[in-house]
Amino acid sequence: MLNRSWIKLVSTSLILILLAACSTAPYRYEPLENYGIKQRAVTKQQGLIQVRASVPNKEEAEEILGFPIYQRGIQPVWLEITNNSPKRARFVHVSVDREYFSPLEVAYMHKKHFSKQGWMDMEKHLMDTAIPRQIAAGETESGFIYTHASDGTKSFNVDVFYSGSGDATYEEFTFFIAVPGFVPDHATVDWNSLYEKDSVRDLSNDELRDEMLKLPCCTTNREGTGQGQPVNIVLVADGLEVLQTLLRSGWSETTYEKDDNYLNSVNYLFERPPDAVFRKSRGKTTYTTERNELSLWLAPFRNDGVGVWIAQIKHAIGQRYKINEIFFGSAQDPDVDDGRNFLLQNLWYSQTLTAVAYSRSGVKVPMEKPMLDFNDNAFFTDGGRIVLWLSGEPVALQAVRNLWWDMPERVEMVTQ
Amino acid sequence: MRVHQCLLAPFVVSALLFLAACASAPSSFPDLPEGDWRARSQSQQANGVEVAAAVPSAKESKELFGMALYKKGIQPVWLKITNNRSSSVTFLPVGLDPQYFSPLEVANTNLKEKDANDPTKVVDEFFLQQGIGALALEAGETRSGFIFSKLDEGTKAFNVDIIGVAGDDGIREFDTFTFFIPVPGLNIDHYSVNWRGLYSDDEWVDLEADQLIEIIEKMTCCVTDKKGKGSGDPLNLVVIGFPTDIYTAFIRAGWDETETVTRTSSLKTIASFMSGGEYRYSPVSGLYVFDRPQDVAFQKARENIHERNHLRLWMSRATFEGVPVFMGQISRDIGVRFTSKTITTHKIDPDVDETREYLLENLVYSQALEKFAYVGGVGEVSYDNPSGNLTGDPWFSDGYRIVLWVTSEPVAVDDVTFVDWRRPY
Repeated sequence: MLNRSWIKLVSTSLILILLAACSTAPYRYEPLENYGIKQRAVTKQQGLIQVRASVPNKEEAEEILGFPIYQRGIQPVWLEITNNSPKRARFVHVSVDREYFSPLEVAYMHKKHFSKQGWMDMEKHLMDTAIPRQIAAGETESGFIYTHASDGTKSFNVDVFYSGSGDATYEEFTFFIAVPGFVPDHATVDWNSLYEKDSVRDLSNDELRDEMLKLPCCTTNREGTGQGQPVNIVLVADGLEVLQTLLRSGWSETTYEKDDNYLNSVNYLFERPPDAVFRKSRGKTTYTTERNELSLWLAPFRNDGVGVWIAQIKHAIGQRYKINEIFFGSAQDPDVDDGRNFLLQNLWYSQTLTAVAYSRSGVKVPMEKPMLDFNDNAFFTDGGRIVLWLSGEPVALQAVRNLWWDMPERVEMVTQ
Repeated sequence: MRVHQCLLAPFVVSALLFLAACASAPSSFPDLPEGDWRARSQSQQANGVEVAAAVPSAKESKELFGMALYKKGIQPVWLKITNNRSSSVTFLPVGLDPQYFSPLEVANTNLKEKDANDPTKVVDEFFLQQGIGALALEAGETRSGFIFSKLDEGTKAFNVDIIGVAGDDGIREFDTFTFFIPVPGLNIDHYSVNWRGLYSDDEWVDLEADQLIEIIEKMTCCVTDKKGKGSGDPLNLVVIGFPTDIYTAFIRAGWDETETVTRTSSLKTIASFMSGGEYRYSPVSGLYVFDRPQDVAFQKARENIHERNHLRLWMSRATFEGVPVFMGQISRDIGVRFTSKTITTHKIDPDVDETREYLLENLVYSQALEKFAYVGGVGEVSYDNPSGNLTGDPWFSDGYRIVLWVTSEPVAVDDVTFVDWRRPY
């Protein structure tokens, strides 16, 4: 057991640290109206409910609230809900974030910035400016809900329950809100200059199936001299739909600075680095690694008028060798098929998938003789590729169609 | 296993006797898990697909894989799926854990110790063989192996999702098999509760709605200390359900069970307290109602030990429509502070109604709630003139208790019924 004197020592030093951190500052904040938060709000109307939503960026939030809230991983979302139904409506906080932060919790987390009175003033202010759950008939309510911060475009739902003409019903709103100041990598691409307008071919499903055979097996390094990872995923959807389906499936945008360091370690396809990179990290576990990174290249062909993207998924399984590099210094899961299958299921469960096809058109690399890419990552694969047709509208899990191009390679049965 | 309800009650004798006969001691929670992990396997069958599942404990996992996987936050789940249909089916591991670990990720948790000069060393055939392999099962095929999931000690709750054509109509269907598998290793509090022994047979009483409302509204507002003194956190929950349903509902809604206070568990708590890390099953202090500490506690860890929600339940001797009624208390920990009594304690969100409404939404969105209602009894306490709990934390409330009918059968979000007893808003 820990002895008492040790506990005393630790607690005394903690008290001293806390005392040192105590501030005498009063609570100050800037009025919301001084910023364009309401003006740039996105408005949606469904049934008898209207919702407006806006997300202040890091700097705006610090001024509006009076403390650096993003530093604690918290992002305020401003909502305005109008209830045009004849009865009371209820907004469901957990629909925006399953583990949202309560206003008084946010106040407690930031009390060290202020004097005792300042903290009390802040508490009152946060309560007054929080979005309430209940919205009376014909009324409009607005305020903040405190969510877990995410990089880039903020995607969330707002569910409102109400009684329409008869039975109780609910509306589910989905928002994708750009946060000013964050410029995702895909926003810096000059899409029009990637291909000559006339050179982009439009392919039918059958032609797309044949085209799979002509795709390069793998990516390369910057110079085109080194072996990259297999190219094993194709997404069919236009740009905005790709962005929204990935956000709905829990992926975030990235902002890689395209300096030499980045370009020398990144995979190239069509003689260029990825047009967009998305990242999906695993929640906190005892053993944490960045779960996946998805790179996308716009293809020089379309499918029935819709955009086609060639994709590659990398699944980091641990840090390796290099210091001071977060992702590129990590070892990749050599089983690239597992990453491919993960993406299929991830999009499927996020109800963003309408159809899937399997194509045995890639290069087969047996597990016993793995290959190495130019970053010294080992990999093996059954040579299968998946083509995923995406939808902006939710698709029921059992409604996803398989086009049955090829049968997947059978893995030897394991008996326990 | 549920004990008989009102069906066996005699029609005659006095009203009192009727009440006594109608109510009966609720069934106990599942038995303590024991024996070899394979012996603890459970199996389910639906529409021609059979799924067997088992979860090795920390010790058993270490023996199986030669690595302390639980310490890495990884829990292997063994599955055996048999497809007795005439067409193929697909198993989707993300239904079990949306962020499952791949076999080679698990194999390389000790990556730093591996030979850095040979990158191919990360390919580990043993772990690949342990995985379940392909996701598709042909007609008549049986496939078994492990899925590596995020660690949940105590009871492991998970779904096994199978998609395929079940009938002759050619329509694809989704079958979900839900498992709750107790795993040895923690001393979970509810295993040690003797539910039947809490009250003698003649103490049970089944109540009509208006009787129940009256009794609940007259109940003490708040918890007390061991000596029955003081007035602590408000009793702002009433949960109606059999122990097994309560346990299933809260686990489904993402709550963790709680360990009883033992030497090991207090050391685990202190370690996680000092590091701010996660010890999700940390014992909670006893608060008193009916002259005894809570029968069951659940908690929901968020980022770290300082931010979690606590929920305590005490079984009353009342039943409603034959189902036990529990009094309860929920609080949201929002940080840690120093007190004279216990050195440190968790600071609770003073807006206890906010936490109450969070719980309602949490249960509804986890499809774990059938009905809800409000009753009075706490008494209105204003923000400007708050009450204090036993450790001096302020709280305020509109004075209402929420009544929650929990269920182990999933109920769709828009099928939850509001029972119009009292209206706080």
